[in-house]
Amino acid sequence: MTPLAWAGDAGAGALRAALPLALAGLVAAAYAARTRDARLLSSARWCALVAFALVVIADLAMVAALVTHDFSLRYVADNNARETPLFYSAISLWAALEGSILLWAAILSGATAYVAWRGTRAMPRLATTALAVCFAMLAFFLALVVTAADPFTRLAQSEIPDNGRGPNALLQNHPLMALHPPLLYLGYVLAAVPFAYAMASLILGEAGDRWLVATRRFALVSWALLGVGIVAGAWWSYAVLGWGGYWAWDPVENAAIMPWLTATAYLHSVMVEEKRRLLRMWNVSLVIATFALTILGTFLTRSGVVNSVHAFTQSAIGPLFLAYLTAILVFGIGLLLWRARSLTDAGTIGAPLSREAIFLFQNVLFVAATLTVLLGTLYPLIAEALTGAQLSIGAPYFDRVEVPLVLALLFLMGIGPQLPWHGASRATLERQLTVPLVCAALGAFVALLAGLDGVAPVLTIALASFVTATIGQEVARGVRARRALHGEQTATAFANLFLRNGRRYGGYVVHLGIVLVAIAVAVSQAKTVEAERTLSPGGSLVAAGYTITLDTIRDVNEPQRSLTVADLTITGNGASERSRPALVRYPNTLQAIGSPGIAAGMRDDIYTILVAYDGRAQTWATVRVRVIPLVSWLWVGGGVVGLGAIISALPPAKRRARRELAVPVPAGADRWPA
Amino acid sequence: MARVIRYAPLVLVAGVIVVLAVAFRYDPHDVRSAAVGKPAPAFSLEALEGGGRIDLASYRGKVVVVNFFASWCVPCRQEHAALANAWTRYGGSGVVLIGVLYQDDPSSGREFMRRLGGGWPTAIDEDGRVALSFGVFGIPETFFIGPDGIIAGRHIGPIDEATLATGIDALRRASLSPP
Amino acid sequence: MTRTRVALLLAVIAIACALALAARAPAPTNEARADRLAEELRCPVCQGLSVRDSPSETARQMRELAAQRVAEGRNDDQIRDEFRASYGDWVLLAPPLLAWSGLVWVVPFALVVLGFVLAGGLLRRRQVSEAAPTAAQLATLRERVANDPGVYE
Repeated sequence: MTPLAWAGDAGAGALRAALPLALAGLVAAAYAARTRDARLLSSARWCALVAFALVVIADLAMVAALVTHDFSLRYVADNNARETPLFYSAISLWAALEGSILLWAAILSGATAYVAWRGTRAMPRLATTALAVCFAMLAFFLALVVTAADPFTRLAQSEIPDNGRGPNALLQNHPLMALHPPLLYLGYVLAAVPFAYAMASLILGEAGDRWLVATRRFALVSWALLGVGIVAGAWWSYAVLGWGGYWAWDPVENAAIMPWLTATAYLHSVMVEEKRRLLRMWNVSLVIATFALTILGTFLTRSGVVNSVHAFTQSAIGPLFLAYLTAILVFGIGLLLWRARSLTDAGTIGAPLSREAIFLFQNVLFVAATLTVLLGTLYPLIAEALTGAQLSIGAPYFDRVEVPLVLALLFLMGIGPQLPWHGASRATLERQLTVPLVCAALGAFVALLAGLDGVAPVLTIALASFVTATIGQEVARGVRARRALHGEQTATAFANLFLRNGRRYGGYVVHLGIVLVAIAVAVSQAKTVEAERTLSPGGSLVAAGYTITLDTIRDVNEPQRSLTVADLTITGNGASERSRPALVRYPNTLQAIGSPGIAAGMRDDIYTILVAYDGRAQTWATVRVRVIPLVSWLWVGGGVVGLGAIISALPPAKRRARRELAVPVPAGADRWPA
Repeated sequence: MARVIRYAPLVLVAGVIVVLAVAFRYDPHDVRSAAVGKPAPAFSLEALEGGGRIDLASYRGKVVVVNFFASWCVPCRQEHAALANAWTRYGGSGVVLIGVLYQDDPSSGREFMRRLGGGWPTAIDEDGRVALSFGVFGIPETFFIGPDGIIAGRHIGPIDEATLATGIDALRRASLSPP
Repeated sequence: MTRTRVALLLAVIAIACALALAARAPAPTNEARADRLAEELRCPVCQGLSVRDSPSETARQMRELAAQRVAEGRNDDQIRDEFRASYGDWVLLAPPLLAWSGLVWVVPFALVVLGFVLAGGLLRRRQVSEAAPTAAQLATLRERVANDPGVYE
């Protein structure tokens, strides 16, 4: 008997109680929105809050069952073992299909509760309708976790094992597992809120863009979490998968990048709607696309239709997710076409040298990039369905097709902020672009001198310098303006730019983060040096000026696994480091897992892999070394993007004290009868 | 034109959903072999137990079963009894079983064969070239070659007696009946 | 010509020169050719990794085979075809351009062109909108005001 044997029942009960609450909430919210009945809204609110509490209880119950190794639950028996360390037991909540959907349900119920209690205060009718949409989505996920993906399924008494199988070896190899999936899920799930508001706005036939203003921060936060989650995922795969790369255009990676791309397009085109009330139908389409792509991504990785690094085991959940995706698209696109007339733009963009025109071009490129990833991911399926041919679409395709699009986007990222709304004269543009273009030329030559070759990497550095210079120019201008207008010191003026106009200057910080990521990707892809050699202890190999010496080969036994470790010393280029690549054997996995040794640095990462070793006398080991320049800056860039998003999302300093709503609601508009 | 543009996304979305629905019928892990239906790549490999080479060409006119294996491969151990039984049953009647040791140390391979038994010809694929020419994905993997030297079938993963018998019998029947 | 224009022009010329220098590909060494081929081949025992990236034994053997064939003087197509004969088209991580499957290369560029044509349409319609609003536009505006107490009231 495990100490908390009742936890499984508590969790199962909580989920079964939450489902009818979600359905009741759906009905209550829908009627409340229709009749403006405050009591119905109040019941919907309580449904949301109690459902949230119940799902959190279910998640905690699962964590309790995992850390107490209650193998009478199928999920625990399949994903946990007595030897699993406490930390990995706890995060096994999202190590497999059922648990990850349970986590998903918890986040979604939290978002629903937020809309119910906070959202409805500002705009009762719109938010109550959105709440009904949230309840419908929550009901789907709760229905999943009590049927096809029930994490609390008990094993028959005779089937209960003495010890569980333990988590997937790749998922208990690195602490980043604690970070990457929850960030990604948060990003995915929070994309549901702008979708719900957009749908509510269409249902009510509102012609305004209140939905967009109300969910601006949600969209930004969801986008940022998704972005940081993707970088954390790249870091995880770099640190765990042991081939020395961080991005393989695997379907699961594509699934995450697609909604991020459309969300990025949306964050920019939304400004065109706010400033000029244009692109309204387009923005709704992007919100629907982003949300549908999060569901498509979940479907792709959980249905077993594509081959992927971490495709979850096949299950009956695939057809259900496909039905859900279809329902969302039919609902979303149907509403959009129904209300299309009220979303017609009254004007047009006009000048091609205006900020709104750049946003438009940028949107074209982002959507083309998204559709290309989608096509490449699905093309093998299409080919097999149509002709029976089996073919692969991988990095050589995506790299060649996406890199030109990314370079064009970097160029627009430099130009866009330089251009005013409604258009600029050519003379202004020329004046503003002189310094950045000179910087771009300097950057290109520095890249050449540093030994970079190939058009794409050198152009990336040139464009990175260009963008950085435009941002520097903008910040300098802002500081000068504040000094002149407010008489502030340079440092104060600098800080105030970010505090008082966070949306704009936080955006520049995000751009800087993207520049760092672009540089890191270009240089690390172009200049990785590789060497592989079989060494005896004392022997060494040389790669890119570093000498890697094999000191010893030794076996290490830990409770949950056994390792064979190669102790390496790295010298040269001023470095003196130790590195311990290993082959790790878990009892539940036939093949040993390579665990790389990474000597990380600001300049180079020295990535070492133990490929093979002499299992008997330990007289030799084959070591593969990759010297990967600047790759650390990729993770730094991800952090800078996150920081910029935080600056952007913070309310402006002068308004923060009042804690007032960003949208003033005129008296009498959208109020409930007293 | 405007109408075409408005409905293009609908067509796209419907297309994606249909493709996904159809995709359930296929298993992405099930990659068909390109080697099947073509003449088996020729090979001449050193015998595991020493004493000369094993040359595929010398078995022309016979039904040949080529089995790629290694001592470190757990499923290979599982399927070994099935191979041994097939060898006892068909070995005398114009059917040849050739084991090919793949990505393994010859001494471990010899120990494996000695411990588990089996008297069929076994060769060492030192640099993996033969496995690459057959298009081996992962061991154990078994190929059925007809008397005409054409690869007639392939089985990935541990093989059982019934599958072996079906494959061999089909090839023998085809070679006995006039074309 | 103003000083700004001269500086702009020089910068653009300098960037063009730098890119031309970067594009000057040295004659590919055998090693570079083998690496490039390995990048395009899919490792049979991995999840979508290339033969170049994969640390697996099978990928190492495939790299050795590719390097040997390069040294023997075969051209890239012959080497690719050798792998395709045993592993099928599946083994190529990107389909060849000149095949029906090469359609996948065309679509992205068609998308960009189509997108810019549509965007160009949005820019050009300006003349119309700067004239007096049409009856249809006025109707839309009136309807919007009428239907949206939340914003306009």
